[in-house]
Amino acid sequence: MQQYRTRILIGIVLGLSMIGGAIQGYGQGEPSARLLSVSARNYQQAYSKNLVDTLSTNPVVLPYDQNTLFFTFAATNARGRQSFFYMLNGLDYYWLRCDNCTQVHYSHLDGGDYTFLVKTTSPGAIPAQFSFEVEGNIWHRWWFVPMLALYGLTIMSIGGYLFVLYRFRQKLIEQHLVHKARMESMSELMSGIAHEILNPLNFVTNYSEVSRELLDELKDELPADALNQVEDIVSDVGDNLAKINDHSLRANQIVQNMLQHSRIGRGEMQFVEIKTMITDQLQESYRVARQQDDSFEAVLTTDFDTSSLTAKVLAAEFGKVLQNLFSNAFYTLQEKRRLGADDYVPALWVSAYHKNHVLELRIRDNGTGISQEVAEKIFQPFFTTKPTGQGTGLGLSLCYDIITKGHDGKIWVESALGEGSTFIFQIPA
Amino acid sequence: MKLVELSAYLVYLSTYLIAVPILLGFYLYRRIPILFRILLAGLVLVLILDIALLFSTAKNTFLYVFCGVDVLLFGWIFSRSVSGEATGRLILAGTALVTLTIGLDAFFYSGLTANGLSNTLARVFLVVISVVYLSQLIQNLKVDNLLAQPLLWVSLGVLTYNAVGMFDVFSKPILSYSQNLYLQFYTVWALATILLYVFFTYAFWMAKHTEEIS
Repeated sequence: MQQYRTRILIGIVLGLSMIGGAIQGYGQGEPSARLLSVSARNYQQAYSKNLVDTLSTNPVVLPYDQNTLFFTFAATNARGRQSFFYMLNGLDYYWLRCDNCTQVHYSHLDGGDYTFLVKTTSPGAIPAQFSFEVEGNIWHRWWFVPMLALYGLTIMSIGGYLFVLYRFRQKLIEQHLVHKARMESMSELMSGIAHEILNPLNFVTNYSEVSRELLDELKDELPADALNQVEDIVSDVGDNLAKINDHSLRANQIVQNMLQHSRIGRGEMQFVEIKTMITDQLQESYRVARQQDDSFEAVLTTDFDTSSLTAKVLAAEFGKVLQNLFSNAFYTLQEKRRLGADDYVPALWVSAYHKNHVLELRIRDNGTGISQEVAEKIFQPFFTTKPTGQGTGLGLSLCYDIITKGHDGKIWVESALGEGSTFIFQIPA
Repeated sequence: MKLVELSAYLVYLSTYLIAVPILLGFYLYRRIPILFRILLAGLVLVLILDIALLFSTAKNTFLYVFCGVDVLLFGWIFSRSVSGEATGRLILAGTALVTLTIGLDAFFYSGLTANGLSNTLARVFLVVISVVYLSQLIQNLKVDNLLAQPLLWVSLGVLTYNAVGMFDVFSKPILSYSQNLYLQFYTVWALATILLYVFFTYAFWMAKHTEEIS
């Protein structure tokens, strides 16, 4: 490169008038010099010369590493060594002179288009010319660096995107584990409380019954006069004892439900035909729903795997899950029917499929649906959206425990408020 | 060892390493799902093409066939594996479109000379569909053990191999610039191919636990 810089400097010193002369020299007519040969080679491979066809009509394209060129020329109408002007358009800015020479060479040509011009030193001489292209160093091509950057960015973006997704997944899994642990501790707490409450509650139930019996005996024992005086009081006490007994029995039922959480998994696993179980529970729950409201009708659709749907489950508890989910679904259908438009048709879809050693059941309704806030708490014990007295809030928490603890499965809900809900659960099968 | 020898050795190793997942696939044939049987068939086809390439002079023609087989095979596998019917159909449509473009490129554009366009298009398409599948899989919280999912390894292999292979779009200018750089690229590509077949082998091994979706 140093030699070219030197030439430029010399050009400045010698004067720019030569360039004017060179430009005037371009024109029609026979060139004053002719190119005898052009050879190109790699600068480091001293002995491998590639001769370039100077008569080629196609553009001469040289690879990047064949960028050392030798131009051999002679005067058209004279023999022997002469003086010439030459220049390489694309590199030189002015004509260079060589006296008594027949060859010049250029090394380390960068990528680009070039034209070599040579002419005798006679005034008005027309130059011979030879055009060629050196395929550039790819770093010097305008598109290479942006493309390389784009490629790098694409790869990094893909890696980054997948990494962010993975981290997000890890966070969600942590949240799920926290939620699971909280549910488990709540279940344990609930079972503990239930055990403690059950004994005093039994006393309340039993003694209220005994007291009613004693009251009846008291009525028999008291003389008629005395009974007339206290009859109202005895009757009120009897009613109160009946209420105490009823409510203690209800409380007992709640405690029994609570205790079921701690009993999950103690039963015997057995193979059951899931299709039959679903159909039976569905019909039974539908019958119960219609008992509560004669005018209630719903479209029931089942979609089962064509293959056998046998699975090893805790039969009684699995039945309880189906019963709870179906009764909840019918409840929400009835609710929407009460609130909904005239053309509303309550519908329930149940599907069951085997998928990669997993039995997946989906129970979808077009009922009232549940909000995201409610969906997050729906499996928590004692959480209910039903009016007081209609639900204990233990049904779905029991389902959750039966599926997750009893069957090592998963249960979740997908819902849109006002459009319906889908309860999905998977158990290993 | 010179770079040219190293890269040649690695390219040969990576090409015929395909035999390992094929052998394991046949060994586990009865225990793997249909998706992996199709993958096995595709790998066998690739091996046959590799062997045929040894005896053929029309090497460029084979490059188009490789491209087409890759796109059809993985397009079908991922269309069956992604969740969402629309996404599956979109992948199938993309597969058809890319295969058609490869055919048009082969016979009407580049004329079975150099498959730069087809190669780049196929690799970009395969990278996109493997990323789609991977992102769906990672977001699926119902999958407990991500690393036990056989298709995770298939998609990771496809992603790595094709992401490196995408660089092939620069192969021509690189070859003009420096043979060394070209050989370095081939060495990296061979390593990515080796990784691909290692991942496929592991995927076959993991797939034996997976039953076909009925």
